[in-house]
Amino acid sequence: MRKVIASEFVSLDGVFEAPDQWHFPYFDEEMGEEIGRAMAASDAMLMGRVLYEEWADFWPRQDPEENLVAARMNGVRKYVVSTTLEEPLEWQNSTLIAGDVAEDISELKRQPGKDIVISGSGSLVRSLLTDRLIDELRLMIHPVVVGSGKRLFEERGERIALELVDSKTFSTGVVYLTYRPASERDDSDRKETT
Amino acid sequence: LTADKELGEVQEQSDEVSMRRIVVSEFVSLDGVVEDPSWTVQFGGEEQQRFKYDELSEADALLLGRVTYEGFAAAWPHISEQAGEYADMMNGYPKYVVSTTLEEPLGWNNSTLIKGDVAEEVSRLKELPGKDILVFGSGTLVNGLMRLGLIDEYRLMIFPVVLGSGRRLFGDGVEETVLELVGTETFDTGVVVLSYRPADKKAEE
Repeated sequence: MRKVIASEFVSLDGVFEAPDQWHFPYFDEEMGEEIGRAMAASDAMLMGRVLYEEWADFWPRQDPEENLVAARMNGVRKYVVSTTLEEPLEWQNSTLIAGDVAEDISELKRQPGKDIVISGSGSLVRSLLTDRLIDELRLMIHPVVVGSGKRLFEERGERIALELVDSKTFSTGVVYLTYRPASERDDSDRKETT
Repeated sequence: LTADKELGEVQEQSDEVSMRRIVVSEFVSLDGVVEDPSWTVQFGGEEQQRFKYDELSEADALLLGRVTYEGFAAAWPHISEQAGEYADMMNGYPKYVVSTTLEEPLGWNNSTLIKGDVAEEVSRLKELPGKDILVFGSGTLVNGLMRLGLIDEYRLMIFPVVLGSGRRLFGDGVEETVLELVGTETFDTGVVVLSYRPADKKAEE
């Protein structure tokens, strides 16, 4: 079955908003390789409205010949979860998920294909984690306390038990932690992946 | 693994610096909550115990805020038998307690109140000969010490759980602080210990 993977840049105080303000000094080859590997293993993206609107306004304007990431971002299949956006979505290869999110995503996971990746999209990540629809949560924790901005995990959320699957340390001081939902239900899946 | 090893070596070298260090050591959930760490119990294990024991052995004093002091003072004097040497250190070490409302004498053995200028008092403690001074819990105090630039190391023991509510270590409105990772350790229980130092302090050394 296809995996849904949430992959996030976070500061040490848990902020994930506006990574352009603090992330770039830590981007290097090591991190680039990890991100490249994750991209190669995926063939679709899942995002919330806020990130969709930001990216739909940015990526189509980039020159795909100069910016290889832009070609990828524009070309890849995108699923957008929103109750306020309407079809047709402007950005190419974008499909709206407006109905029963849990059911639609479970259906996507059953279809053949590679991983489905989420970045940003905090409220979507939180609700999918609570519904156990995220298979892996990957956090790149940056060694900086930014002091303001939206956090990935806001207050008044539900308690979510996780399990550490992997941890890596980059020479920039970024720590790359991979978690999955604590496996109370899915013992078969656990055996398969460990 | 190579990165971890190099980071470990960096740490050893800087340990030779003679000034006493303020080390903030916290139990943190994945969403940054430090309040009432009773939720950490289920993740306890031998590696974590050893880590905490070594940490306390490398220190010789505690610096605490009022809330954490009151919690500790109510518990530690009564659990000395079960917790053995660790409890003996907790009960025996000098405790410096920052509070504007508590009054001397403090009930817990070897506890002294810091009532005046925190910056001055803590700086004075750092100049005295001795080992590390540990700060556990004490969220308000930690944010204050951070603003004053008095913290030499942050040791965050990150537990694999999102709590969803509770007080966080780094509150909103903390000044942007660039840190340097100086060590990582992973326990079988999925607990990760990340150690940081202020980046500018590192440069001064």
